[in-house]
Amino acid sequence: MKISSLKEIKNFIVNTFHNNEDIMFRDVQIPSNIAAMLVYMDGITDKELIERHIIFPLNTGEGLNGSFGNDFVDYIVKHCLTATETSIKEKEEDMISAIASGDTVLFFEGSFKFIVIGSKQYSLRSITEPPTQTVLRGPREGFIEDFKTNVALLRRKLKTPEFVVETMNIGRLTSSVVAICYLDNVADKTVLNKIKKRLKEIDIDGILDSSYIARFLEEKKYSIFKQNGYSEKPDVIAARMLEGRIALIVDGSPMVITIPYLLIEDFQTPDDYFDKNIRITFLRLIRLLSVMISVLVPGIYVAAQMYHYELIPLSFLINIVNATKGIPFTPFTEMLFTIILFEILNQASVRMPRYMGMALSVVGALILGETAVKAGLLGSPTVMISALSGITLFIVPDLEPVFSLLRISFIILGGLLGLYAISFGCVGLLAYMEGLDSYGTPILAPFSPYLKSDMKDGIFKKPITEFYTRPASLSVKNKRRMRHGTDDK
Amino acid sequence: MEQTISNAQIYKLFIIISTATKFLTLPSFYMQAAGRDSWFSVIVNVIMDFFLLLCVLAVLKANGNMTFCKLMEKYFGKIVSRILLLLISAYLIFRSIPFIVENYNILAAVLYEVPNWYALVFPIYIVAGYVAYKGARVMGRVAEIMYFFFLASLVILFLLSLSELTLQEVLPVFEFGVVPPLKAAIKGMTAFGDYGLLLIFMGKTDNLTVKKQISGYGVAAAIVIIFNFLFVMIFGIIGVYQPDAIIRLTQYNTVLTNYGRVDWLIAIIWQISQILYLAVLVYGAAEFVRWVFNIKNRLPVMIGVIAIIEILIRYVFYSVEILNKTYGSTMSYYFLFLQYVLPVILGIISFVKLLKDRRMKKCRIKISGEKQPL
Repeated sequence: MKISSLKEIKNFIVNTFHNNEDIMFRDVQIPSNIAAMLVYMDGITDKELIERHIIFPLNTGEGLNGSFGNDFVDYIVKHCLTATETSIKEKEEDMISAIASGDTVLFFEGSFKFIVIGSKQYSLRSITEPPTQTVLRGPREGFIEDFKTNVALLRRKLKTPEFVVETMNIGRLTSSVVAICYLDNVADKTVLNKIKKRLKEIDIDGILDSSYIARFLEEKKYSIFKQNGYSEKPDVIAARMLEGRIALIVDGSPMVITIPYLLIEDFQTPDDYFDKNIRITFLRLIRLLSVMISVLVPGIYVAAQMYHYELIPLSFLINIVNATKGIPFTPFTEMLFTIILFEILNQASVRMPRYMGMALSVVGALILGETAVKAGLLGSPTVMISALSGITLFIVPDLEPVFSLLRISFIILGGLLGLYAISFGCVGLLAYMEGLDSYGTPILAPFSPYLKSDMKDGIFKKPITEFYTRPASLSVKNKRRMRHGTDDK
Repeated sequence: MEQTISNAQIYKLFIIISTATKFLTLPSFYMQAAGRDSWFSVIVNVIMDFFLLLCVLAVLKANGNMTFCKLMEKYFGKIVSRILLLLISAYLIFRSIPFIVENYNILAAVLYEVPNWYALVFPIYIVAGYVAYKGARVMGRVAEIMYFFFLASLVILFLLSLSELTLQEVLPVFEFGVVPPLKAAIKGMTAFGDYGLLLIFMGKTDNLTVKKQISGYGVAAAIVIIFNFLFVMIFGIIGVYQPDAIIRLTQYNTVLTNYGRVDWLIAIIWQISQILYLAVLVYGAAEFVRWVFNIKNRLPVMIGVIAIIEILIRYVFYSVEILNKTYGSTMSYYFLFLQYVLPVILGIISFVKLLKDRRMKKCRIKISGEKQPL
């Protein structure tokens, strides 16, 4: 720093922060006639810490014995201040970022150096169960917006020196902390270095959420499929780190990113590891079936009605024909309209105030659904199928945005060219997905490429007692997770 | 560098594409040429293809990571190899034409009331072209995932057709001698020779094993033979009038009459083989043309290949009669050479090389005094 006069430092700070009224200045007179000045940002600083561990010791002069040696600032830090986080800095950028982030800066008359004391105190919400990932069994804690708390939640799960946290600040105006968390004896360094390189290349004004970082880390930015995993639960993130993934915590966001990503991880829920494997296998099959129903059934129904009515059993066909008699729309238009209506209702229910929830349910279900059918505008099979498709869409909530788009695509294909186009659409979609990978890991692994050793946690789940190795689909340093009985000790 | 296709993926891919050309008009064509002994024609073709497979596997084993283009250059020189590769590209293009036309005819006759060439054929061009553009790895992985559904659909198809079987339709065996089915086998060979397409993936495969590919061939051959047997046992001599075998095989099943034509769903799933088959052909033709003319970008070449296929269908082979006449006479010699003769020549050269290498290795072991493994 080029200035050492407290008056000049104060003017510099006032000008830098544009006369901001949040910036507080507190003059302190240290015994031995040394003038000092505290600077901090009101609202994000722990005032009790400032009073007890900075002002009080400085005023009383405890620890000061008159012989300061060559470095007075260093002496103050070691013998006087009782705050836990202290560091001596000289650069103006460090001073500005410290004040802006909630730390307290202590200046001394005539000194180019200053002390940064950690005193951040933000108003944070408490640790609760995340709304996006509720469980019947298992831990219910979730990440919050403070990255230190989030790192602490992970540290409680991974009590090992191998758990490494590297931080960097991204965002010219937000200076958001991004913490890269990994297990040093497991994570692949190639992937880690790639992630760090990409993060260093980010030059943006602000990072407000982990999804910003996720977009920068994706290799195919226009793909409808995500290429990073997310979770709000520490146990899920810890489990993924144990498998070899790298977690990224962004300050200000409760969503933690994990890389590399496999599509199958969205079909796995935290509950899966707290219940019997037969039951979980059954549930995973249900999830897979639900996804296929939600994406394909509306399109197949449209295709069958428009082009291949011989596919439909006779008894069903008679009922469908009776139910759709007099409907002014083609099956294609009808289904598309109903699906879009469903999407509108879905968006409205997410955005609307809670006290209007009942009214919207009545409007959506009774007025739009039932009345439209009674009025002969929509057929009841169409409403039923679109409702079934809508419900099954949320069985895998993380993939709901993608499947929602895909089902509309398959309806269009089915309406234009029937089952032929739907089957071609499936192959085309599969070819597209096969070309996606997340930092060298194909997202459709372990199904394609087929990895037998990873199928123990695929759709058919084996007991956790058989998880001897880490997933082969992820490149990791140490494949072994568990030892066989008493051998190799 | 293109990513590789694994041994297991090749196994599944070739089982799927082996059925692409054999479940359409081939059974009725064989019925016309060989009568009730058409199943024997299929067996003859299967045996011919087995020897073809052995030659191709010898080529793959003897030449390591070398691509087919490099191998041709090594054996035939720069100019001749380029001419041969262009001929092979043309062969791959001609190979794709009959099944596209037959496929359209099935869809137009059975699945759609108002057929439209562009609506029914262009999607296959687009999807197959896209899969081919993505490369060998994606082709293999698509086959890997679709294999289960494909196999399951065929098993269901066979089970649904069991109720209508009449074993007497196969009898008497060799009623008119062995010669008619043998002649039919020669005429119908343009629909076989799929395992020769393995050479397209030369240099792009990962740990190819002979055992696995032979077992894959066994599965593919079994599917084709069973299908033809079922066809004969269901239709007998009137199979001549059933040009779209895959759709017709289960049409008399009363269960389907009451519960809906679920067999059409099976036929739709079977269409996967058409996409992958065309993708392999387009991929192969494009790769060879790219190598000959040293073109880096794959996409324009693939579009060009597909455009040539479409032009040939629309302006040259615009009727089934012209198609059958050309492929039954002139084209068959061209196919015979490229489909069987050339791979056999390459196979013999490679087999000799393998024997030489083994002898050299034994000599080296004797000289060095190493213990030979038991």
